[in-house]
Amino acid sequence: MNEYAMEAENVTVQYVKGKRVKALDEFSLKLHKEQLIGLIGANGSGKTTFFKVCSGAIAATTGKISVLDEKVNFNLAMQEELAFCNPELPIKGNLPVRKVLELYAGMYPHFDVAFANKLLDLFGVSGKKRIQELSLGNRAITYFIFTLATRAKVTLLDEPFNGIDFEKRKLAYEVLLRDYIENPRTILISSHNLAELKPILSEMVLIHEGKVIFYEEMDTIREMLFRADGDKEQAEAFLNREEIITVNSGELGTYFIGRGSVNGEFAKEVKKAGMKISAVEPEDVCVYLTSKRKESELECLWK
Amino acid sequence: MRIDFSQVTPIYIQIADAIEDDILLGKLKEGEKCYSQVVLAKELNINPATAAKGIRLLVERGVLEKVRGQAMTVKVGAMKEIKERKVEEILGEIIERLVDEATKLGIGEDALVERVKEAVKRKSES
Repeated sequence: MNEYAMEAENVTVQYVKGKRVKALDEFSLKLHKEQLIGLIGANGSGKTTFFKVCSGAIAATTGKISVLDEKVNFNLAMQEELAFCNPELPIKGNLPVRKVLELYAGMYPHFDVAFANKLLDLFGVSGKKRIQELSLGNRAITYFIFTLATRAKVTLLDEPFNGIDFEKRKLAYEVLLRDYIENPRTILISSHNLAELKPILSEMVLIHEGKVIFYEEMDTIREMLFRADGDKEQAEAFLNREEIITVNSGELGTYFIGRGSVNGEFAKEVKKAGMKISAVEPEDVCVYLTSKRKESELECLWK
Repeated sequence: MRIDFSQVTPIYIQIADAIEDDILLGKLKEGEKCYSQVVLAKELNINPATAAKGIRLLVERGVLEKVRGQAMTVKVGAMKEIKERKVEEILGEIIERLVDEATKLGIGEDALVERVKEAVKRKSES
């Protein structure tokens, strides 16, 4: 038995042959078992492609991928232990919610019918309604519920809470966390709302342009970068340092983002020079490590 | 117990600090069971790994211990341990900040000491 739930080795996906653009580019990742893992990346970074390759919905152009030590393609035994929730890939047709539930129960041997029905009640989704009659948010919730109820050893959730209102989203995070505590398993969830999601995560993967930037525990991510605020003269003494990621200067002062923890050596040095040190939250860490945008570009818009 | 997700202090440290506060307030007693990892995760809506990390931190601080395969227990002498650490770390940090602010405002040593004395006096009278 392997300690990883999923292993991807140099996986490349090219939707159009010959084109230079790769949805995944030599993508390598090994996911730890029984963790609740966030998959974070900007639009077009390759999140959905990765989910699709993992679940066998599409094949990798090159590279190897295995889930629970098994090759992904043409493997029914493994598919029973792998659930993928993606609002774009629903069950065809316009069946009533109750019928879709039956289909899921038929596909997944550990599907918990009673749990799924209780969740439909909790979120106020009627089993009699047809899938297409549901609002966007309720349809998303329904697929989330069914995916969770599969209790599959590897559960992939691709933006499961898009279009869901704040109250239900809060409830959904709680349900997801509680079910993970009661039935530990590997759950990979992508979201554009890391600020909301982060408390329930144990680990996080950041991807950018089809590559893995990092895969770390949440607390490690909070110690990756720090922010230093001060005046221009104070900041200038450090600007040649390679730990600095970005600098921003304005009338109100100058700040820079540096690599390292707020309690690290570099931060201490900066603090001694009189600058104010603060932590950088995971959602901002992701932006600073992947964004190429410069503040000056924004200013240009109104000039 | 309340965790402030917008605060810069990592969640696991906030949990450890909050448990220590409950010990200081007498809600958790020395020699008795501490909140479990699962209870913390469920009630605070945080990942169990984060809750475990908070508990581990308290074991390192000498506040909690595992008694013969049982649940985490508040160590006898934990109260003293917490107070000593808080005086060192937290009070030290607050005093440093206080001195920083006072210097910025041009308040001299004597004036600052006087104000602290007044505050202590008000507290003891109330």
